[in-house]
Amino acid sequence: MKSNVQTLQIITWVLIISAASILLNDINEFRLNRFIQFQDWAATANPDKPISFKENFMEWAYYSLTVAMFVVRGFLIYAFTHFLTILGEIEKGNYYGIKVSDSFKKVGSAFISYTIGLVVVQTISAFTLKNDFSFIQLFKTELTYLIPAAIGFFILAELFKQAQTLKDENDLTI
Amino acid sequence: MKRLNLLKTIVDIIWYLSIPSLLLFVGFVLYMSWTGQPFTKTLYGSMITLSGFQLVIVLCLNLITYGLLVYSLYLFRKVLQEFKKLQLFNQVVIALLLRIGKLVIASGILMFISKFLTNYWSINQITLSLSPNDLLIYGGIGAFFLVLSEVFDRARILKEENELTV
Repeated sequence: MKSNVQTLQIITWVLIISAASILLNDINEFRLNRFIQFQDWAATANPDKPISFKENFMEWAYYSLTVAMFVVRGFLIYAFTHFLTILGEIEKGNYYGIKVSDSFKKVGSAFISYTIGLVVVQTISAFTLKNDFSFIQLFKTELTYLIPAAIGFFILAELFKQAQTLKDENDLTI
Repeated sequence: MKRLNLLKTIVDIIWYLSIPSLLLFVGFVLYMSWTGQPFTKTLYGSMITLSGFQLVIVLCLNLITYGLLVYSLYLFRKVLQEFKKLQLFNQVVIALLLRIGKLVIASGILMFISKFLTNYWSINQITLSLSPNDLLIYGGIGAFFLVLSEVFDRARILKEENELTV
């Protein structure tokens, strides 16, 4: 039991660290690209020519949607941290505590928030920035795995609650 | 119960969709083995071509991996059926969860070997990546099912003790 839990903890840590490092790298790259774009713009900009509303809107839309995408990706890391809480409790022997069932619910909610956030951001970016967007492609990768996993976590939360009731009854009898 | 029905429906849909694709995959492997045609695919942004014995090995490994995943999906459906019957912590569920865990880990290992061989035979390179790969993800899912089966086993013991006391 302990070895499986520890293996899972190591795998979860690796996933958290790699997901966080990829996210940080993307944020840094985005900042760098923005800076290079700003330098290019500053070198060629004509101070007498006002910036058009459309240009300004597109700039802000791109900026906001990219930041929103970073926030959405943060949900996955948040889900993994709660998964670590569950594993920590199981390792301590508190299999059926309230903390475990609450964490299962939080992991499920984070997965659903991630998927909904991704669909919303991708749809808005497809309409405003005219980006390539295929719902089927998104459905294949995220919706097929994450939505069933989220529902599964909600069901596990209920099951662990029932197991806790059994344990409480057992403790009372002794 | 609503969530259980929803999950069961989603799993059923994926299961019914995976059966024809498994059959198509078997047909494709047989066809490629019979004709011995080279197969070209884009991997890591570069075009790779495999043919002959190497192609058959890689395709067979992929077929076994896919078959194992489809079988674990079938077992997962059985677990959900047990849950629907309100048989939560019984021996059948525990055995099924244990088997699913082992199958998912085995499919992750096979997937890793298949990708490794494809890479080695086509680009003549041995690459090691620290990014989340199939072995890590499938290993994690498999280990989670193993942990679940052990936690459910404890709950089963508690339930039996409870019933004996009553």
